[in-house]
Amino acid sequence: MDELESTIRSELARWLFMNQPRLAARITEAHHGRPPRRGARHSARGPSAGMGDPGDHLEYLTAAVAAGAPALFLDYIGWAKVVLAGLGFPEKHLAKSLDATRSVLESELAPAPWSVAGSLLDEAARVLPTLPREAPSPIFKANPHTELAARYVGALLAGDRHLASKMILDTVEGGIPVGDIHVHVMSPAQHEIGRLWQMNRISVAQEHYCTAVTQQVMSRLYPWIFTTPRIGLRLIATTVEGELHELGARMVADFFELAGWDAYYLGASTPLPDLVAAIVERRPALVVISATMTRNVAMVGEYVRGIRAHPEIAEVPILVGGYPFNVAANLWKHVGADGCARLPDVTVQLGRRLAAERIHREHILQ
Amino acid sequence: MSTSCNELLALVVNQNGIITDVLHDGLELTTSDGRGAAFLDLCHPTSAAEGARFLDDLRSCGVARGFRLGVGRPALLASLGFCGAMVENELVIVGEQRPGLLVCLFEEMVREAHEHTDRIGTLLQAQIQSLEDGPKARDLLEDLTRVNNELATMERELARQNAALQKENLLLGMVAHDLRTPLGVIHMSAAILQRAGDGPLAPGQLHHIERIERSAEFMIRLVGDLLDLATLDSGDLTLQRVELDLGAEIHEVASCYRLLADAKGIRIDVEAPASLTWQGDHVRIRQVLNNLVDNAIKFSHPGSSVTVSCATESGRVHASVTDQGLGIPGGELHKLFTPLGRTSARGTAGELSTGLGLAIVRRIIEAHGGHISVESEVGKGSSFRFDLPMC
Repeated sequence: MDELESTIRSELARWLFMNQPRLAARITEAHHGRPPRRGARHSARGPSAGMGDPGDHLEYLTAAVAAGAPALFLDYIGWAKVVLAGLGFPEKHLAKSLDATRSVLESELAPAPWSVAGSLLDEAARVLPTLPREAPSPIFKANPHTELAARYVGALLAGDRHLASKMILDTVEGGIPVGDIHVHVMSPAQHEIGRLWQMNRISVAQEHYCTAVTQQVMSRLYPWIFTTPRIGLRLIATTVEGELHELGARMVADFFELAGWDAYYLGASTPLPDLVAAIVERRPALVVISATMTRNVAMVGEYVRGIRAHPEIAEVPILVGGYPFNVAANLWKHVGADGCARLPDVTVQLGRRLAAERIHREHILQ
Repeated sequence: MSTSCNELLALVVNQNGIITDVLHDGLELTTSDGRGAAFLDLCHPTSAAEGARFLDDLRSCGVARGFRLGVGRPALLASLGFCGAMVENELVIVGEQRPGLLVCLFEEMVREAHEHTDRIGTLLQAQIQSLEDGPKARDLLEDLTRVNNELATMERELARQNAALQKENLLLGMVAHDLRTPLGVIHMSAAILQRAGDGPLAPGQLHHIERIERSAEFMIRLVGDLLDLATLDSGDLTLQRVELDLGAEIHEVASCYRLLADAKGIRIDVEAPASLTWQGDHVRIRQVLNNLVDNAIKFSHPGSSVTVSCATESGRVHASVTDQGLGIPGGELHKLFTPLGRTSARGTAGELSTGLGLAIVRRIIEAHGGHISVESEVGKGSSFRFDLPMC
């Protein structure tokens, strides 16, 4: 991305962000032929649930433009198609809504920024018919613990916390490593719960309940996690402010703990000054920052810059992670991080390498 | 993280010290549902002042731990370690016979939180449609998620710290054990060199050997105390209760220490019956008496006296060790029974202190269901008083 294009993108992203409510109202009017009803910005499906309305189109378009990562918008279109199908909308609804977005933005933007936004919208319109109406279940991907994962999801959906907890603890006591349970059971189970919500098969309340139960089950595994021999490396992990999806970050922290690190998980939604203070105090060999919602990617960038700006901790390696970083391969570079990995065990390997490189660098400098 | 809660008392108490809920009462100390009673009424009269301090600390700091209180009715008396935390405007109080109180408190809180999650789940299942249609559904779910995240994070940090604590105790025990053998060899070799000798030693060499011997002796004592403390803190202490003559025991301890006291010009007086039958751990109670009398002599001036007294009253043994020595500054009294609570103090003849003895004494007395306190005035002396149940 050359400098001119970069400037155009950041100006466009800023303009989209500043004008989002007004543009959303115009798109709705262009789509339906009438202005939106009051308070109709989001459906009541939940915090991340306005999938498929013009406000969401603009939010994801803004994130994709700002990061120079078209994948963020195209992935959103695929997600929205499944959500709208689950809600019973006809297939043409989303195509029409994208058309309306296209016409409104074209009428408002100068040629240079329009070429950026237009190419993204064109690409979305092109791939839309090829995208599936139903998301495949992650439970049945190549997985040595498929049956357990399916039973676990069944217990979650039945609201049987005790059964869910028991089947996991029995398995771990039977000798299956905790890391395998994280990767092959709990992680796909959470994705499955998200998929069922996406397809309108369960409510957002059920989704939250299932997540809470998985958090508790993970905490039952601490006696196995916190007894591995230490290797003298320290980690701090958190999610950015406003990001309440924390299972991924906690799972990564637990993986580092299993690998012998002292992994301090600060909790979800840690304000930047608090994170900086924790890094200054604990001097970790590595920092992990997570964001699940695409709208929080920019905040991850701010966190990385905030840490780098502090002279005492500027050199600490930073890994980022979460759904948007899985979708857009090079997004971690855009936010200024040192790396990103999709799987927790690979994240640990990467973290170890970065920490070792830093120690080596400091040793040479001394 | 498994803690048996059979010996656990968990209460919710309001700001006025009135019990509003009994979360757990494994010892059946509360009557009926326990609500409406004052927390201090649960305390034995000898623990009333300490109980009031506990509530004060809890109200002023939000968290209090490390309080040992006698609780219950005379027929069912227990010594529990208490800790607590202020949750919103109420005080969650947990008492337990064994160490690991903080762990137990949070386990209780987390268990409650889990029950809440169940209730929330049921509520949500029942009201799903109305919630989904309601305009506040999103805010409510976000709030619940936030609270749940915080609980999950708190539980993780607690598990981390608990694991670290267990490792620390294990490490302490291992280090102390491994140190004891080489220290014994050093001490013995120095003694042989000094007394028997393989040949004439220059006066300077003799002086150094004496220093080695003294240092090794001190370190052996320190390692022994560390081992004791690690055992007492790990919850592995099992009292070997036997019937013994406490009166004779006190006289014997005094007799053993007279040699040391005489060397410093200090008199030891005993005001105790010649015979007093009592049930407890013989070795541990001897350790208590040795520590208190040894301290009294250590901090006494030549020409002064140390008095060891013992009597029974209301089914309990009341004993004290009183000296006319250096005394302890008021600011140091509160940490006196904690490990390394008073490491700076030196005896009147320059004797060293490991700083662990009184912490050990307190744990042993409390393990017997007793209580220890101290009164002291700088320049006038100290009096350590403890009471123990007869059996």
